[in-house]
Amino acid sequence: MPSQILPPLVLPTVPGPTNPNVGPPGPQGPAGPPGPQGDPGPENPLPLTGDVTGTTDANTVSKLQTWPLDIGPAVIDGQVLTWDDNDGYFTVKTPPVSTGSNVFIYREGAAPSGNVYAHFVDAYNAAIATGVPATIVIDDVISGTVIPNNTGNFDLHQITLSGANGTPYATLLSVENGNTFNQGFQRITYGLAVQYSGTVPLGTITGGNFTMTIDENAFLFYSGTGPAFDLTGMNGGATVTITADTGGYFQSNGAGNNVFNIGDAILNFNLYIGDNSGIDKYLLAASNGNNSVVEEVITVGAISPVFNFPDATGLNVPIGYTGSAQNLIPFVSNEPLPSPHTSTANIVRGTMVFDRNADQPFWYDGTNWVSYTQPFQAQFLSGKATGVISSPNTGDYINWNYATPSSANTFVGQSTATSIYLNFNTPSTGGSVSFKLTGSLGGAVDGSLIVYQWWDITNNVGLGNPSGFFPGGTPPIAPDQVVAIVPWNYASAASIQVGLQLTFVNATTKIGNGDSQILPWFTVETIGFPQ
Amino acid sequence: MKIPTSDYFLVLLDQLYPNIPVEKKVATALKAVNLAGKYENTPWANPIIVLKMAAFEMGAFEA
Repeated sequence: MPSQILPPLVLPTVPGPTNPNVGPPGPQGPAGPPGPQGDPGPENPLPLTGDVTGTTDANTVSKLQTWPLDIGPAVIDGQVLTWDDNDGYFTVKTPPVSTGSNVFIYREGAAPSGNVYAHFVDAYNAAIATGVPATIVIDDVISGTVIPNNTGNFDLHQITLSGANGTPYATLLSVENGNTFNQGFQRITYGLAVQYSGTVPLGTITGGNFTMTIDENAFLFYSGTGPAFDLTGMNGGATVTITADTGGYFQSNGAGNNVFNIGDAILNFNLYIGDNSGIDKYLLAASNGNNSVVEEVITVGAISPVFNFPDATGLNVPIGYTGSAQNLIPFVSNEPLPSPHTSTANIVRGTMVFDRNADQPFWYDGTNWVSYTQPFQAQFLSGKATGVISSPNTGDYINWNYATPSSANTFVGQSTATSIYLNFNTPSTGGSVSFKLTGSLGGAVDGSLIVYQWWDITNNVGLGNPSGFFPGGTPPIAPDQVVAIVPWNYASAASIQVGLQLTFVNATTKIGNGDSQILPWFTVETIGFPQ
Repeated sequence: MKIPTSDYFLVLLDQLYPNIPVEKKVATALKAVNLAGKYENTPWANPIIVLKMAAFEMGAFEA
């Protein structure tokens, strides 16, 4: 009904009849006070076994028998007790408390009341209506929490999905087929497991940058077919930031059923793996020839046994590793690391540092994965790369030349020249390239020389332009000392593989003092490399 | 995680979800044993979450 415009009201000296017209509605009044706190929910019906009146310490109220009596959370006197499998105690956990109007509880089987909902979709609708970041607490204490078939798409980019009581990996939200998280999710946390077993992607994500976080002993469990998240339609150059921290974990469903598939999309895919957190090796898939940049930052506390570099079958990427932990954690990978050897890109981002203490195969020589029995083996294409040898022992081999690894290249105690080749492919357009050569020789150096020249790997001939040498002797070359800026001009229109050949020449009997003190370190960095 | 037996999962199932139809309980317990074996080396696997996953996959929550 159209609003009415009332004529000017003239006040009579004598009260007249009441104007029967009704004016337009006034402005909305201020928001009312916050509603009452929701139903705290029923007590866990699970029986407690064992002594619940035992000794108490800082965070323990009772000691129970050991597993398998871990029967889940229980509530005594308002305190949520959760089983801690590490110390065999029930531990007091703080139940989720509403911090205002943006926390909503989905408790399957509960009577709806306040901010408690019996169906996920109702809690979601309440959360999304806030228009601001909100949290949906998943509580499966009464019955299993499920998003039923074909409920719809849920925009969770501002919504955190939380477990009910923080017990690690104990609350399960099952997502059935036909539901989508096409905007990803902001965060899965506080002991919640989100399981998806569909036959179509849980999320088909398009557009620009997005982030996902799983932390506080929560995880995504994907048991469906195909990728859980299809990123193939994302904008080129978009950044994807995936974080698993404080016990967070991404669990794929094996080969071909990856968590993420980037297909042909060219993305910046950043992985941050924090304390007690991990991914499995089928996290990521891509199409052959994909030149996306994948960077992975690993903290010291990441779970090494479950840290596998994603088995990005077909992924043809320049891999960059960054992060403070790269020198601290041996690469304990159950799969060989992808090699930039097959990369067609001109850029290798970041720095690669390998610890010789790693005991797994780690490098691809162009044909086979090379068993990691050598202290170091270097193959670098374009860009910046670093190799390190830490404390090689007598008898260790250095197979610097990937093409002809040989035990003759014994480094310690050797009396003949040993060469390394830091390889890269020249652009087919020709041009020029400069390298900054940085090096050090730690420990006692006994009359050594390092001669360097360019080497045509394709044709196995030295190019000799330019050549030079590191001086040997004492004191050693300091770490990261810039030794030379090495320019090289080439005119070939054909792409060939060339290497910067570094030849160790021992003028006397050996390099180093023979007692595991040889610590050569080289960095080759492109300067002005044609992009 | 040690891999529990199906009998253990049946007991746990009665505690967690006593209203699950009887005909689905054994299948759920067996599925839980299977999942426990498959994921025993993951950091997240524990009997409760594995049983819940099995219950979901076997349709035990369906009306």
